[in-house]
Amino acid sequence: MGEVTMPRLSDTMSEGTVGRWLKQPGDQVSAGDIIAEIETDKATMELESFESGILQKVIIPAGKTVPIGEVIALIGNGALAEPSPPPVASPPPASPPPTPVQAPASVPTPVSDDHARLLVSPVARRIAEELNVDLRQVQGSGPGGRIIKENVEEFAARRAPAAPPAPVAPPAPVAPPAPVAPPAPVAPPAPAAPPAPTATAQVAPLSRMRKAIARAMNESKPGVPHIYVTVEVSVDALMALREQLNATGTRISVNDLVVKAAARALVKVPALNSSLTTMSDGQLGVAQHAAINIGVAVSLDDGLIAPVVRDADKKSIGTLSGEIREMAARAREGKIRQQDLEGATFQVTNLGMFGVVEFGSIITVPQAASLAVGAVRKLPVVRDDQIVVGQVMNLTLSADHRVVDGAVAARYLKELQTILEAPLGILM
Amino acid sequence: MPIITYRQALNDTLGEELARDPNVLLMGEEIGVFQGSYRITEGLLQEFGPKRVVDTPIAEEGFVGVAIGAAMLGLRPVVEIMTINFVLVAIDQVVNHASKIHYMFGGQVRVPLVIRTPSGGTGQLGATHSQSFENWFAYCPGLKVVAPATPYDAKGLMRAAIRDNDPVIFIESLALYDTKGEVPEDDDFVVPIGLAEVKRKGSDVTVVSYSRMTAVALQVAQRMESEGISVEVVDLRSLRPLDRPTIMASVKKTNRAVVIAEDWYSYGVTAEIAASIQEEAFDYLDAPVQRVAGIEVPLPYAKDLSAASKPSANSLIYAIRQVLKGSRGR
Repeated sequence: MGEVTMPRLSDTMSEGTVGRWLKQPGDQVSAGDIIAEIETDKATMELESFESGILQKVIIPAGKTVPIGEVIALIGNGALAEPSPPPVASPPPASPPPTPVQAPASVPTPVSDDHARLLVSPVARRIAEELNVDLRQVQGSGPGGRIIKENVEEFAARRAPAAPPAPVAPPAPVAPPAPVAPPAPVAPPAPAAPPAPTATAQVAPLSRMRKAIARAMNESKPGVPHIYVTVEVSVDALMALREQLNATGTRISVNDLVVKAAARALVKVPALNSSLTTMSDGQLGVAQHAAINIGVAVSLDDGLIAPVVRDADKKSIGTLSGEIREMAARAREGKIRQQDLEGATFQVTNLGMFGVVEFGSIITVPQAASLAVGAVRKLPVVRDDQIVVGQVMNLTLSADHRVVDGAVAARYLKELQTILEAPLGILM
Repeated sequence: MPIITYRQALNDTLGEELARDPNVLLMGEEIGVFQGSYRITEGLLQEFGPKRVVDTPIAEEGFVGVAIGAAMLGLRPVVEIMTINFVLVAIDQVVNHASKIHYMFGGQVRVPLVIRTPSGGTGQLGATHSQSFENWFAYCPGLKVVAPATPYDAKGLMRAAIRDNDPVIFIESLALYDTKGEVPEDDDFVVPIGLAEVKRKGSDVTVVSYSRMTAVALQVAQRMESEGISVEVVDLRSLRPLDRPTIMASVKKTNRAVVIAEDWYSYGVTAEIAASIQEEAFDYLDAPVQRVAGIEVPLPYAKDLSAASKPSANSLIYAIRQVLKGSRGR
């Protein structure tokens, strides 16, 4: 009997993912037939069979990743042909005994990323076939993420009108979202649920509208759909404060002050100190973090890391500044510890030192937002109807549009602006 | 249509059939002078005399055997067994004789026998007097088993059972005897054996039930309507023959099913219905079929434990919520 192994398809490939099986157990296979698609680190490639015979057994189901050289299927003469067991990764969970309803676990359990066996109800599968719906694109709302009939019907209904998609969410800023397009399960890539960053105060399911927005955003921008909101902050008072502080011999940076202010603003607008997550019942939810831990981006010669200042809202500016300086130094020496990099609930990144006026940063999953800090510039500004020289700084917030809308992002920036423009509060 | 009790519907029908057909006779313990343990036969001894309404000794195997012999010779006996628990004493007569004589005698002899008996447990009657054995008889080819839930069906099915030429087990319920409902006065009205009925139309979930559990299901359907959950109730009425097409038509419409019955969970009626649904309507199911049945213990005497061991409105509501999980934001 011939063993089909995970092939080395590129120089850098160490493992491969079975994308899908093109032959099923029991199928006749001739040498040269394409029997599967393999996803490597670079691309999806076809797997040719070297042997002829009957595909006896699929060992590694579609969606699973294994190292090169591992046996993924058996080809033989059919003597042992099994009655084509579907390439099931794991049996569907047995229906639980009728225990009393349990509150959703507070720790989000990630849904299995094993797409080998989509959970689909029989009627949903039949209707998907009739409507020509690709079930892999449908988000299931049933137990364990099972795709049920209405998910398929909604997907098909949404797809049906070839008309321009209804305006989905309001463009960026202030106005609260107008009624959103019909709730439509697109397939947002299931939000990765890496270890929860911090103690989570609570996880609440997304509202129907939030779900609809999340899906619509993901349809346009797969992954984390960012929304960008920018505000200009007058920093004359902030720069004066910094001068006074540093006159005492400390070395507080503008960024330190912004980090502290950003943390304080999160206390006021906690919606941004959260993570999109998948709850134990497979539904999307929002985890509201109890602690405010700010990842501060530090540029290295060959990359970027973001050491985490824990409880940044509660630390004095001196402590916070010292921690950032100390962690940045260790990062540059390559001595950063893993725990220094974990648990951020929000991120601040600054390109002001390069003279960058403003920019949009990329949110680090599973955080809900990231603040990009531009340079402090002297500009002619209008004050009391007079043109005077003022110092300004542009701040751009990137927010996960599945979790919040432009109005919340704007409210956050308003809080942040207020704190930075009357900065003595930062010292408290 | 007049509104009468389930008990009255049975009493009326027995009297009408005694009057209509001189071959009909009633037999059983305490059905004559005592008027029946549950007064189903009240007044019939006085009206039709001791040849037509026969008090028997406490000897189920004996009088069921006598009734089978009488049926073979052309009479139409209607036997009352005080509760289904006591039919166990006569089970050899029912399963090995009544159900097989027509077959084993090459079709020469028929057994037009009705055994009527209340099943199920309410009212602290203890572990040996509270059981549901209708599935034991529904299991046996050669028998017909009916289990009406309303006075209307009680009358229509009793007529059909007495006029049927095969042995029919007629399942009643102590808890249903005092329930009321409309019953037609028309002499020719019958409810055909082997036909289920959609007792309430709905669109979200099908509840399949019979006898007392149909009454529970209808209450639950009403309660859940206020939550916006639309429950369709399919009342089996007959367990054998089983009207699978009516069940499937409903499940194909709602895509979800909950089966409730009072007998024990394993090997019970709910198992048969759930298995049939997955065989015949698999491609229409949006969720696994949920089953609500008795807890697998001898029924406790203590009131609260007894109630906790039996399926109830609450356990049905729980199952309906389970089967609806994930639909329309639930």
